Amino acid sequence: MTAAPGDAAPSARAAARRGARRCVGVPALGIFLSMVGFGALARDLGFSGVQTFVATALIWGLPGQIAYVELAAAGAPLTVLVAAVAFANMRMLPMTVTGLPLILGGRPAGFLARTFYVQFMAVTAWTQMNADAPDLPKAQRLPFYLGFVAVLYAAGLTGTLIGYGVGAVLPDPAMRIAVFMTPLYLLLLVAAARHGSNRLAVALGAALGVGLYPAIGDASVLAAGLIGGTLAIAVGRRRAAARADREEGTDG
Amino acid sequence: MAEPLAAWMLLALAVAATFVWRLAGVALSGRVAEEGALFAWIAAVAYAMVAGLMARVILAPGGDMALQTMGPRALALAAAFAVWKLRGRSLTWGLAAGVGSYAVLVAAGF
Repeated sequence: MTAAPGDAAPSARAAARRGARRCVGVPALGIFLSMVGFGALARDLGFSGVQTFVATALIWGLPGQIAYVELAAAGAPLTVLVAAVAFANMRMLPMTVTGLPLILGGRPAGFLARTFYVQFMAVTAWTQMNADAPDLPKAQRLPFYLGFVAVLYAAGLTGTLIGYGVGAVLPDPAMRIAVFMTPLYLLLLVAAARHGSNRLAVALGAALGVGLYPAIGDASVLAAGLIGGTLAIAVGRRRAAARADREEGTDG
Repeated sequence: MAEPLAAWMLLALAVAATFVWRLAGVALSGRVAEEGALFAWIAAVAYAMVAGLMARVILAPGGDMALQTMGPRALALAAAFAVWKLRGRSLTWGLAAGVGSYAVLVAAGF
């Protein structure tokens, strides 16, 4: 953080390498296997290899990708398809608003640059950056992020091609275990959020996301977010107010 | 599948339907003060959305909420969080406990 200007380039490269190394392991493997599943699904549904690859490269959000291939293959009306994809990937909005300052760390960036950076922000990168960024010097956050997502993106695109080309790469029981690993990793990461209100939001969101799913399907993610997030903030405020009251009481 | 051109148009729409959220996020992010109450609310909503999606995908990856398929996953999830908590919120321990117990259940034929 206090590095002289001359050190900026090598230290940025080092941060990018650290980000890339951070991705090797559970994050990259998880995205790789998820996208293998997506590639295999898209081929089964009759998509071309190029379209499948482009879907991963430009959507970069698995729930929306799945909604797209399933509904396009089923010949769903245009409006239904667009609404379903938009619904499935709506979390990109709050993730971008909160993730962007996290990865920029106060660094100035133009509109196009910011738009480019967040194109690679999906659930894995957002979750990992929330966990790791506060411990990084501000100047290293962007290179760390870019190193991390470079590996993640490469793993996702490779997985898509392999899934499309060969189908499932693991026998079914092994695949089920592997597919269990990624969301568990991300849920444990968000469950360790620094702010108490965010930890409460995670608990409420998880309960609501599961509980509402049978009734409202993919919209349960949005409902879990709005209801869980709002409740968590309200409870956090009430706690803070109670604390303030107590302190006032002892003072007086 | 639809005709080639129409298929590409559908893909372009699907890409746009995701891109608009990121674009809106970029447009909004400069206007929301990082220390403010609005930012805290948006962050809590994002955390709750991610948790809601992940919990559902852990318990019912294909959307199938039958107890028979969900039971072993719920058990492994509970094991993961119990160990995570006991080990001082250790990600490694929690993940190992969850994946390990799920692997045992799958190997046992569940």
